[in-house]
Amino acid sequence: MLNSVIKRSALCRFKFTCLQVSECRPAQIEISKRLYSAKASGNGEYDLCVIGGGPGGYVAAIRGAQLGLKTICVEKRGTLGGTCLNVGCIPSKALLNNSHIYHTVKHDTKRRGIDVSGVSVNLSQMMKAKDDSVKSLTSGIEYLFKKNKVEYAKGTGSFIDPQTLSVKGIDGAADQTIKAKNFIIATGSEVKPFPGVTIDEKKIVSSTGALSLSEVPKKMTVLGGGIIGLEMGSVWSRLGAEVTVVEFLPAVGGPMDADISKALSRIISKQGIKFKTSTKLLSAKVNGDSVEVEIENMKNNKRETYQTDVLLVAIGRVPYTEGLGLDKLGISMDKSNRVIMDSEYRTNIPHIRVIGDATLGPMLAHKAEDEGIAAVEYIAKGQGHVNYNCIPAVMYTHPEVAWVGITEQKAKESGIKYRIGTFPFSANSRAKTNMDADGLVKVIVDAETDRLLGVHMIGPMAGELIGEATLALEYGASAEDVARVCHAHPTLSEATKEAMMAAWCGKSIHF
Amino acid sequence: MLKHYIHQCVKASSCKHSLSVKQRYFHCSALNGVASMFRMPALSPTMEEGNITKWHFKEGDSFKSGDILLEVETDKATMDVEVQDNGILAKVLIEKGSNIPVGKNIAIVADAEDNLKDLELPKDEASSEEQSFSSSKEEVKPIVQDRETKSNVEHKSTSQANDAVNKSFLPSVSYLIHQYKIENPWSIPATGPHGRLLKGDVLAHVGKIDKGVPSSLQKFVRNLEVLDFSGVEPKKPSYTEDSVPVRKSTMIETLKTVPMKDEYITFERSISLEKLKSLLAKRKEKDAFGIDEVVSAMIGDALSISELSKVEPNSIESAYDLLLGAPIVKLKSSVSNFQPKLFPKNNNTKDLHKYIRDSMIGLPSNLSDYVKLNFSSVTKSSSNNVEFLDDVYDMLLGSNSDSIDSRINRHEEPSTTEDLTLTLSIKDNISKSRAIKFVDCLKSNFENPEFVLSRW
Repeated sequence: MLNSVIKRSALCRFKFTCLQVSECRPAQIEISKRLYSAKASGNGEYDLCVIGGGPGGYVAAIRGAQLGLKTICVEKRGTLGGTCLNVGCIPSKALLNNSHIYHTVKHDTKRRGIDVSGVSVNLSQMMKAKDDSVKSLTSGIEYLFKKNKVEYAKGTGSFIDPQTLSVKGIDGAADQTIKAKNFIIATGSEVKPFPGVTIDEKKIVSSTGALSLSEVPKKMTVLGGGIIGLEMGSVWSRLGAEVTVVEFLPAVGGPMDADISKALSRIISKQGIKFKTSTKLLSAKVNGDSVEVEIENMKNNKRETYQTDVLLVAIGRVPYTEGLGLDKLGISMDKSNRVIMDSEYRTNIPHIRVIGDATLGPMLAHKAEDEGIAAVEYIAKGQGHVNYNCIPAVMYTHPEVAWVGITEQKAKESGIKYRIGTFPFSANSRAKTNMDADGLVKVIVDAETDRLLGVHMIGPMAGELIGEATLALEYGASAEDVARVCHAHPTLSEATKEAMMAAWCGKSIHF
Repeated sequence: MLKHYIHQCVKASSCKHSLSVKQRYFHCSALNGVASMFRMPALSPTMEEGNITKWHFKEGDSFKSGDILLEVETDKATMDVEVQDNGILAKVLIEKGSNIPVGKNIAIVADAEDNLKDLELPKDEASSEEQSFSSSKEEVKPIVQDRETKSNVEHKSTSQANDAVNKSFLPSVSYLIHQYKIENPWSIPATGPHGRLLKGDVLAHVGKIDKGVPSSLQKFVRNLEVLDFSGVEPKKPSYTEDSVPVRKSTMIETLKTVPMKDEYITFERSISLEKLKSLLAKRKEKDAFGIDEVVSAMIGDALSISELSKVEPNSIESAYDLLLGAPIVKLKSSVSNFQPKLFPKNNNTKDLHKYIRDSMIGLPSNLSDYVKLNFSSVTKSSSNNVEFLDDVYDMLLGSNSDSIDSRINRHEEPSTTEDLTLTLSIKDNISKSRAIKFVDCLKSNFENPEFVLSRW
């Protein structure tokens, strides 16, 4: 009798535990918070230690602190913001914008009715403007850390055991040992080296060096026709360099839609950048003041050797987890050195999670940010959200290129029936009046249900326009849904609406 | 379900009401004749409550924009409340009072043109609003999940609900609903994100396209929404089995996968029972749990977190499994089949591993076809990091009176501790990642017993 009573109560509790699992996660955090408060000035164990202060890491740290976790962020660069803020997205955008203004003023004012003379580049001032914006943004993150009570450990982290990270201080910061209940690896990526080519950041540069050349090179060769290569190529081309892009694949623009890629190379060629596609680099040597480059066209096997002032190696990036001691812990990686994670960003050691460039998926700052938030929410709330179909990609050339969802190639491969709707910016009133009407919007929808599958655009402000398409895709909208939304006139966004109309019923109004 | 519709209607009506309040500012006469509530205003960003000290108008008085309607005393100062628009003070609900929370209805005001006699006084919406606020969180999901059962609901309430709900439909869906005069859109199976009804769903419903199209498209899109693991090849660890780096004895995380002859794969975890034991040693008579209960809760927790017995794996899990080289087996058992073997309450923690082993016998029966558990306990010297937090345990066990005693007790414990090595053998065709997760959860639960206990 007594036994059966015990049994029932135990079972009840057991079932309760099972049912409550999802709700139990916050309780778990709460109890861990209580644990910490119980030993407030004790051994200083953290709820969360984020390794890396880039866009993935710092966002995760701030979100963690906002959700009540005692959080510390380890960064060895000396400034927060990672590659993106220090030597990536942000400084390149400063140069892209200012070089574009220079180029417009110099070449494009006469027909607009503005006569300007004596236009010249002051490169050191342009670099200073870039450095100032980087500085204000990186110190802005330090302020955000303070505001959200995220502790900041300046130094190089290395795992001692799965619960402990030793940090070797830099810039006069003391060494320390961090014990934490959860870790997030957000160490990002580094430049992918080209075998046999040594990057000296003066003559043979990576994207980092290309952001701070001391003078405008006469001739510049860009190895890799992806986003980084075309952006940096654009900067120096506008400032006066003769830029040649060497791309191994038959088309530039990496994973972008084939139609957009074609339009891109047409428009960019007009701006003076030369493309050598289906071409591989055989060797590159610094030869006095210039670099000797040997290339081979893979279609006709023709070899060519020429001199260039600067060679930019921009063939991609590789995950960076060096010195972290992941092999010591036995954390599983894949053959490209990406840390393998599950759907909740856990490595094979569950309390160590990984986000951003260090793991699978596209290497984009905003993807890392969203993963950082999701990973922290999995820790604190047991639930997170990243939709990998809705991660927009933007290239900040002029015109900009932006896309979200699947490409037409992918739609063909997967054998689904699809419809295409396009609309050129040359038929958009705002683009026309701005005298900046190169490009088009291309919408891919499911042929039967009209559901949006992908949106690709090349044109003015495409990077801003893609936001609307991303939202529509996230919400499962059809082309009709977007077309029925009122868009202000005259705006560039009307081009999106008209392309949606074209995809939905085959006809846009203005084209 | 009916309840749900009523709730929707309540929401809709309160929606309309707030609309009417806005419209008051535009002097729109369409909704004249309905007065609105005047709520306790927030006079500073931090203000949570305040005291009403004086009304400057009497019931029935009309006021003009900019007039001071009343005086409110907060913790900082006494402040005047200015009105934004012309109107009539129809009724004062709270004449004077202290600690009135921000947002509470304190008066009823009417439009300047309204005749107080035909005025329809609003009901006290505070309570209904509170209700909708508190229940809105849970309400969001059922809207979606119970779509199909909703078709049985009475027609009248459905059409009422449609009015409220139409506003949340995508424009194309609204359009089609009107075009095809669909009376009960809730009955249409939805394939959109988070259960949203899409254009394709309605087109399939009215027979414009093939019925199976939306769901196959949903599958296609869902696969795009998770990371593609297909091209990922795991790297072999750089060290060999023999040179596995030795770490702290209590924290051996190394995962060994040894394929066995009979197609079983073995996972091994060394679990430290130190913490659990000393926690259990602190139990007192009045504590209403036995070792068996703790153990079975820990196993059950690990089972459900690892989803080892979950029927339908989600796609990313299957991708992850695929990556690790194991196809997925659907297990029909549910966690609730698990019946822990029970023992009388016992304060003897020496046989802890025996309890654990015996509890594991109760794993779901068809799960045990795939999973085999072996236990071996190793006695070794204590790693001497028994810096347990007495106050933590006291908090968990609900007392702090005799921490000194327990401390003494703990020091009397022998300096050796038994570690449990848990070996989980699984058949080659079971979801490997889940099995690993299961063992990891189990390890984590046993080594951090306070988490499981704290949920009781």
